[in-house]
Amino acid sequence: MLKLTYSIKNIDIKRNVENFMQQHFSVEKDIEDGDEKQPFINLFFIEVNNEQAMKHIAILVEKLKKDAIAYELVFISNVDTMVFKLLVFKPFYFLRESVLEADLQTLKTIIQQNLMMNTIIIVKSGNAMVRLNVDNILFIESFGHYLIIHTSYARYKIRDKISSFHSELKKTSFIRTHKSYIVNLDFVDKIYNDYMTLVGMRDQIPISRKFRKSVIDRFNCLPTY
Amino acid sequence: MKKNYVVGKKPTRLKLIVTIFISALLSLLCSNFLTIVLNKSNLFFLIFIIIFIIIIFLYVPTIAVSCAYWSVDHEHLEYNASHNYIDEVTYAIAVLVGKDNQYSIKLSVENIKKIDIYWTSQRYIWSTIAHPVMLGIELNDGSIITFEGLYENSKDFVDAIIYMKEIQHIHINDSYQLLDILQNPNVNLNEYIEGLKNGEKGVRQDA
Repeated sequence: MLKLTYSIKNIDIKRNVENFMQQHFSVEKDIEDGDEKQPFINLFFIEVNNEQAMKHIAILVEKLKKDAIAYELVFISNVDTMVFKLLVFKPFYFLRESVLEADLQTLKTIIQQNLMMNTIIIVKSGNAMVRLNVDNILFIESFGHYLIIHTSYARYKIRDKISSFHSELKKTSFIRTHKSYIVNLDFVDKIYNDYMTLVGMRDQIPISRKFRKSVIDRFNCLPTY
Repeated sequence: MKKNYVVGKKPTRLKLIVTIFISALLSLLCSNFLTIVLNKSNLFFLIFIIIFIIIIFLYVPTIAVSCAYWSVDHEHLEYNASHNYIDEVTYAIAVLVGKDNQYSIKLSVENIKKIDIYWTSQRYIWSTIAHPVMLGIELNDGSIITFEGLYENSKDFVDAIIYMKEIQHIHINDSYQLLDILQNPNVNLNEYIEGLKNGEKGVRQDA
């Protein structure tokens, strides 16, 4: 279920986006009309073509937070580099006017995934902002006050606690195997008595006695192909 | 030959050892001066230790290590930035004991889809507005990473970008022509970006 709010000056773009969303999703006019048990996304489509508009977004975000309204922002711009500048607002997605059709299709996939579970997270690593899909995370390692997120393509060091980060990962395939490790079961290759290996990786992920039973139970429950 | 391009100041073990050695010399001079002024020659060693510890724990982590950098070689792009005192001390100790493989982000270069070079605006003290040059990196898995790319030395930045573009064949999107400006000694980057912001003739209007 979606609730959509538009702040788009370009009439053609607005019409395109509205038509696309109405074609592909069940859209609620009012939050109260929605079934609370169903997954729900409150999407704000905002056109941003310059830095001045960023100030208005900051005010809007502040207001939404103050009113305790759950929201996701989708920015639309004719300046491609705004995608990076707007990361500070942790957007749900970014639509580029130059490739609007393709971006709308990607947005559709992401919304569908998100209606099932949250797949996109935005983290701060050093002074860098990183937007990543949790499906690509292999495992997470705790190291002092830091977590190292390992994906097939990269490693990101972020400052967080492993327990709070685990609770943010709503996807069920993430399982704690050790006080310092969370593993994405989608990438598990073999499980041994006290460690496991991941597909295409040499690293051995330890399994502590405390988590061994739950790991084996979960692994046995996975579908086989 | 495998090249490693470093943009920003990457603290090395040698640099830190030299800094500590200079700090020790400075402490020696200061303690010598203080013992003479205070006429407490018996406290020389104590004063020396106190000054040395102050310099080591204040100067070394905050000045010698407090710098962000990114580097690229044939295999990886690394980015690192320490943003608090504890991080800086931890980093300095790690480098000193030989664990210099410290990073905030480490990417495999072959999985970079494209890199955007762009600018942003930041307000600093006395309300001055600066325009840091940023890198926006898009990976093949759809992840997006953005960080400040240019530090003091623009030549290092240009060399690293050209290396990625020409040797690693990474698509570089420089829609504001910032690389050309950085290579032109006659144009001030900040003034150029201000011109972009104000939509001056000859520059992009949509920035």
